Amino acid sequence: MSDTLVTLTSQEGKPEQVPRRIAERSTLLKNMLEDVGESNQPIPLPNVSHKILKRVLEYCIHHKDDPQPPSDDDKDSFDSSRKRSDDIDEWDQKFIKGKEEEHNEELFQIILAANYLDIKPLLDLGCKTVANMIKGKSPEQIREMFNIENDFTPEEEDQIRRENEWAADA
Amino acid sequence: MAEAQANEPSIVSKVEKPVATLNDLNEDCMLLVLSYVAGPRLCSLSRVSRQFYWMVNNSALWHHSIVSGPVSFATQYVEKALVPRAKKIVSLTFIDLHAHPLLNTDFQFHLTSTFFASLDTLFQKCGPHLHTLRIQDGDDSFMFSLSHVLFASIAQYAKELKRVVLAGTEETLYVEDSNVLLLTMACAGVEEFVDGQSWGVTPEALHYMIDGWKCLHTLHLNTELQPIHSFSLTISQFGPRLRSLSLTHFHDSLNSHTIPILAHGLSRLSKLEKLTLDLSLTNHCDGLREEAWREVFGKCGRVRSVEYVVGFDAYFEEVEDRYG
Repeated sequence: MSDTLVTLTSQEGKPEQVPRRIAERSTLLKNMLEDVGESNQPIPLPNVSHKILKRVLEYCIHHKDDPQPPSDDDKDSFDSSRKRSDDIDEWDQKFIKGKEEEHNEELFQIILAANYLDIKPLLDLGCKTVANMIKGKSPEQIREMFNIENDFTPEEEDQIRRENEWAADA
Repeated sequence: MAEAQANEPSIVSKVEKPVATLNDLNEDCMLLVLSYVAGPRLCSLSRVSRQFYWMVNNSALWHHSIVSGPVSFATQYVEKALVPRAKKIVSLTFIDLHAHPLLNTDFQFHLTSTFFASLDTLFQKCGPHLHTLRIQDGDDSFMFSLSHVLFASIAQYAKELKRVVLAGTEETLYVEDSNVLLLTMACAGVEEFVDGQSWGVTPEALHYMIDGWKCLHTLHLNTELQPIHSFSLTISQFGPRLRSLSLTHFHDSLNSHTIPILAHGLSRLSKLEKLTLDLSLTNHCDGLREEAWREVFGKCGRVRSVEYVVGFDAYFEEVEDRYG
């Protein structure tokens, strides 16, 4: 039964067939498939572009034999004792790096897709990667890297800088 | 003004080439990203933009706060970052705090006492709603000489603690009797206590826990200082309170004489559901076999989950018996 194919339809309406057990890496799809039961109806994913869907499926195929992460009903994800971001394995690192020129954009879209499809390990991988990009950078560098507008007034900025002067070389 | 001008190039480039910005992520994802950025760095991120400022000061990111690193920096972090956000903190971890090894002793002493003063202020503000406290030391930790000062602050302000983890080294005896006595008297609601200390609690300290912590249901002990006879008597006094118990390192050897004594003590813990025995660091568990453990577990009727690790010698003997 787990070998049956599931059809996923991306934002562009393009269908993509995957074995059910690959699709079930996504908790959203897993729950959907369980609710619906046997059905050949394609599942529309209006929030995910075809390109990103392919990337996400590439991840799911590589990790198809991983144990399912424990379903945490308590959403208190900030309570773990020490969150590490330096424990990304080699394949994942290469995967998330993708193509240099569109790195950021693709990275953000993968994160959003992983969040929507509820694929916890991929979501964590994406967020750790962004966290690692942020670490050790000055606010100016971060703005430049992610194209963020500095929307503080000069007075506000001055005040916030003074508040955080102690943390400047953290 | 100079600041504003310096930022212009990036705004211009945005107009020319629309690329993804961090703002494309939704708030949940952004918070998850920030949860991977440690404390002091998180503070400096508030300078990036209004959205960052707002998120950095979002309460969820500060629920669980960690203090670590060189003590002079940790003091600043506590004063500047944690004290102003103290209302949001429900769980505090001190990990691998250390003074610079090249500093002279007087100066280290000064740094340490300043640090404890800042912690006193912090506990005063976050104590009433703090439920978890963890202290974990590395090899270079410094807090040992004054740790009773810290415990005095905890006892005075953090009376609602539910979960306490103390994991010092041979030099940092957080679980020494006076500290345990303070905690058991002041924080009566402790439900979970983890003694991850080198050496571990004394038999006296165990008595303090029996008297003070009436809601204690989970106990991890380093039993290195416990003689099995008296330990067996003492632990049985927890009676139906304990649901999970973890033991390590017995002071005297576990053998066919002492195992039944231990088993008898454990049999009085009528609601025990989980038992962990990690004897991998014990030198004295010569020849312990699986049957011996069955005797222990056989006495604990409700135990559902059992983990045990025996010493190397015992393990190899067992393997030899089976395959040799």
